[in-house]
Amino acid sequence: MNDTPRILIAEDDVNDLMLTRRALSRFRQGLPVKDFQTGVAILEYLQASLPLEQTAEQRPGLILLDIKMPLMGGLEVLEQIREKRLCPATPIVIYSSSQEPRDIARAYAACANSFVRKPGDYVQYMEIIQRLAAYWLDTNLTGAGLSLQFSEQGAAGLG
Amino acid sequence: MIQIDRLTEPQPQGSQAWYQDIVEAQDEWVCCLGPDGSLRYANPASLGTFDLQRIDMPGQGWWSMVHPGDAPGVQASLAQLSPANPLVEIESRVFTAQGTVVWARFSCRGLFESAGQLVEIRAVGRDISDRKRAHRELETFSHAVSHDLRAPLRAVNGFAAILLEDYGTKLPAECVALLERIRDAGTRMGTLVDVLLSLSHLELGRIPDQQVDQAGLVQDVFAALQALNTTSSPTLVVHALPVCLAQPLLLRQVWQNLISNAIKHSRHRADARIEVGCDSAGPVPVYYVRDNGAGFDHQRPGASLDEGQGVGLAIVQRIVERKGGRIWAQSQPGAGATFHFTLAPESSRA
Repeated sequence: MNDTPRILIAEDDVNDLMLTRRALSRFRQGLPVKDFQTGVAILEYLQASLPLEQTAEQRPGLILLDIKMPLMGGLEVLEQIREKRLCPATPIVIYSSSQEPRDIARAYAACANSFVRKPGDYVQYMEIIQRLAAYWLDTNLTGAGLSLQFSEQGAAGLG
Repeated sequence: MIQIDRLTEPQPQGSQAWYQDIVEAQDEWVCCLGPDGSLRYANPASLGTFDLQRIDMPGQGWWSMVHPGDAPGVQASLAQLSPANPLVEIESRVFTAQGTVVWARFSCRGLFESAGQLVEIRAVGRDISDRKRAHRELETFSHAVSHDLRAPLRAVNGFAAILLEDYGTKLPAECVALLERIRDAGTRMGTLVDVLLSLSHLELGRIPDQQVDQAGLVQDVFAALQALNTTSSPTLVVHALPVCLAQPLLLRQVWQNLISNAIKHSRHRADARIEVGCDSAGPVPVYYVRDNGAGFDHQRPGASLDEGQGVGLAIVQRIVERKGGRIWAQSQPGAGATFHFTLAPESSRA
């Protein structure tokens, strides 16, 4: 049994977190999910536990970042992750209630893998989170069983 | 003031001095440029704002006052000038003679010789810094609204839905009905928040209009409203409705408010009937929603639209007015009501 979290979530709104966790457990019961209430906490976790040479089984399959969090928002977390090249093979999805063009532009400038707007409606919310999990965990290839090598220059020019 | 001198000595109408006076008294910047940006004419308003000596220096040209960050966009817009497309609108930051930066909007008209070669650009511009500032504030506001209102709403309708999903079978029927009301009201408010957001984005000029199939939209709106209406089953008659250019979510809100209003005011009748259509005889299409309900005395001030409509109506009015249209009602007590609206200024063709 592998208890390494498959999904990491940074989300300060406990209500949204409950809905997200509910959707994920509906997608796959017992899916290991780890959540963080602040951007700083998820960054510290990533820095402490994710050396570059991790294999696919050890690295999370998806990171979900909320934008609006105190102290350090999701976009800043994303930029830090890219700048420090913390987990190059893990897709990072920005999900937020907002859909401001400048947020979207900033997310993609920092190589977000996806930008998703949290729907206001419960049914849609559940569906979108499940669809996200299905795509990024099951369809998307992150090199399962392989030890991906990343060059030091890989992320040059970012940020 | 300059104008006073002019007023005391009016120029002969139609004379060159008379025409010149019209241009020179403008508060807007009026400039004529060669194709290379060299300055041929600038009115006093331009002279008062820009450093024309710098513009006159060799290799500089009028465009040297454009902020470097906006220069590529300005160049690209001007490159589009052609005999078939002689007018472009440009928004950019520009440097004033004092070294400050202001936002400006220029209408640039190209003049072409018979072979199609650009020979002159006539630019009329104005300071739009205030508008830009207002836009930024609106942007901040809409950002706050989208986040701070939507998140708690999601919790309201989401948790009510979860209670229904997980405990629905164990709860008394009245409890289930109340939870459904909470969930539906939360969802409805979520839609309103989305509409408010769309409106603010509309103000920012961000949402392009699309072709909307109005007949389909009306049927759709009616079906959604009837799904929530347990007290009456009015007949809906939809006459021919033209496809129109609009923002779909906003147009939906207009129809939804008017049809929901018609359902509400006719629900005491067993033969309730709602008629939707469009009168295309005038300069612009006039859309209408007619019911055979209670009606109201439209002479009474404050009657008509605003009864029981609240935010919904304010939004409808904003949407319609933003398109240059208007909305009005006709009714007599007991004889039903008709709401009309247009989506374009009546002086122009839609």
